[in-house]
Amino acid sequence: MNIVVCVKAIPYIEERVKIDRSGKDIVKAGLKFKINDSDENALEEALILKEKYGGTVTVISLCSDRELTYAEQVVWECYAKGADQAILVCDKIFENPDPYITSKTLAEALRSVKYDLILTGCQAIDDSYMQIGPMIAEILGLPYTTLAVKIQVLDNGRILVHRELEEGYRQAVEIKLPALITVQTGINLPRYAALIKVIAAKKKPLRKITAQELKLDVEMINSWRNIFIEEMYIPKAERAAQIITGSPEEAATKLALIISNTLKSG
Amino acid sequence: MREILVIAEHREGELRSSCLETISKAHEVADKGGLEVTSVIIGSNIKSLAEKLREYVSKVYLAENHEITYYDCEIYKHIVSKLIREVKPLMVLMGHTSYGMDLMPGLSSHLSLPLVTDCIDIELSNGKLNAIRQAYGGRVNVKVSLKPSETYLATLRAGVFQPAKPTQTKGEIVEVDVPPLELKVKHLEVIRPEIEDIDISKADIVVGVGLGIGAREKIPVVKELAETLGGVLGCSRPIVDRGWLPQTRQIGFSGKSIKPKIYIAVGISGAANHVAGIKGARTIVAINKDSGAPIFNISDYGIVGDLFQVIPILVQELKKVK
Repeated sequence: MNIVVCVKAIPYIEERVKIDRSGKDIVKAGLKFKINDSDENALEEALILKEKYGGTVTVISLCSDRELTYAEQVVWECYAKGADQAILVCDKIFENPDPYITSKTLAEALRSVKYDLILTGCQAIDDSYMQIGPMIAEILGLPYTTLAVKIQVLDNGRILVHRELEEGYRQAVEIKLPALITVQTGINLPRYAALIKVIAAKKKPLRKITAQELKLDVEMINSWRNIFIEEMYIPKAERAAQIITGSPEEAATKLALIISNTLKSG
Repeated sequence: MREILVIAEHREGELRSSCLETISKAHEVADKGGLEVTSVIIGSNIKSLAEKLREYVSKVYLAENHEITYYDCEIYKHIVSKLIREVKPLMVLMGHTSYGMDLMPGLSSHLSLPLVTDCIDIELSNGKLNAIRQAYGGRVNVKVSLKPSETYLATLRAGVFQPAKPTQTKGEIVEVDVPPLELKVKHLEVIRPEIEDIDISKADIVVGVGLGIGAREKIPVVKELAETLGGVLGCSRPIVDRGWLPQTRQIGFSGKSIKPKIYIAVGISGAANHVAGIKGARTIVAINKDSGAPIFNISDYGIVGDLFQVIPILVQELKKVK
């Protein structure tokens, strides 16, 4: 089975974010980037299927020139884990693409790739639109299903998928290949990429595709844009927490009293 | 009058609460813009649900067929696409749920209509749709506008809007044809949640542990806090994803909603999925080393600090004051 996995490099955020001068983005300088969570699960699932049934795993990512180093890092990690090929669709015109631009571009790039199954993460945790997978499927005319927490290959090109619903419920569906499935976190435990393998991966060939090679230009990309970002801001607190200050000892002692009083007052 | 069409969601013979929340927001937008709110419901044995639904909207499009056993993306997409082409609603709304996340992006691509997902607010301004949504795990809000279009698509975050109340008049029911379709994605069955060891949704005191704990072996540190308080231990999604605690302990949209007197979130940043499950908590306390963690925006009390320094002392002090 030949599998394509769509991956995205996202900033790794552990601290307060800052809004940049444009007021339409966060300050990304100084942030570390990594593979998006559920994309990592999608890659793992592809590698598990490859180990069982053979075939190849191709990863594909879209980035602007500015983000190339982050995307390359992610792709090398995918190589180190066992991906066979990588495609980077990279061009300066892919700055801040919206979900439809990303989907259209990836779909265009995938027209020259042979696959039975496309896997994507169900959600990029930076912009968290959750649109890419179904959009790519629709553009390529593939059946799709989303939020997979279990993928099992049946016979005759059929796949059993458990989709995650709310409150611990699941829906079992059967899908015919070729198809696209978006993968939810928790479906597997992604393997680690050994550093030595990541370093070795940098020598592997990386297929770079520019907008021009896909016959795309700025005008076209702009005409695809559905969503315009007007403003980004730090949300106001709904219930502004009273922050308990002091050393850890002092704060913990104060908090113990608050908790105990809260419980007494019923 | 142009319509705001809400795609109804139901499971096991009940309308989903996200559906009534979406209808309520639809009414708010419709009242300002001189629009009417309608709904489409798709499935088998749904006459009684359509009866209920008509108490909330001016028109219910009823697509009933005994072969539609469950939420089925391709059937939904076909029926809704046809309806959109005929009715030309100004807006089509759905909850940002496992159904909405599945259907709406496909529909958007299929009909070339702009879609904005997971909105926490929407407004019409000069016929254009603006929305507010969140990014970076709830750390920033983003105001967006959509490309001008005949019809806009949007999914609304569940748990944000108050559910709609029944209106005085009942809407009309319009039956919609369900054509035979050859499906490439076949629904097989619904799998119910596993039997639980403990029901966190009924507990009065809940302590939640998140990825801030760092390692599975450290979970007992937080468990001891729960036990000292006579409460139960819950967790955020990433903990279950890693197999550190069973899914029955998961608090949030994809897990359980809790309504305790007090909820203490330890090492949990407060992503939307988690926050959706703790709205019913009376008092929320957060302990996190990141002062920018969104959890502090919905908490009553907070400590910004290292949980491994704070929790042991907290446990010790709670034992004293008890």
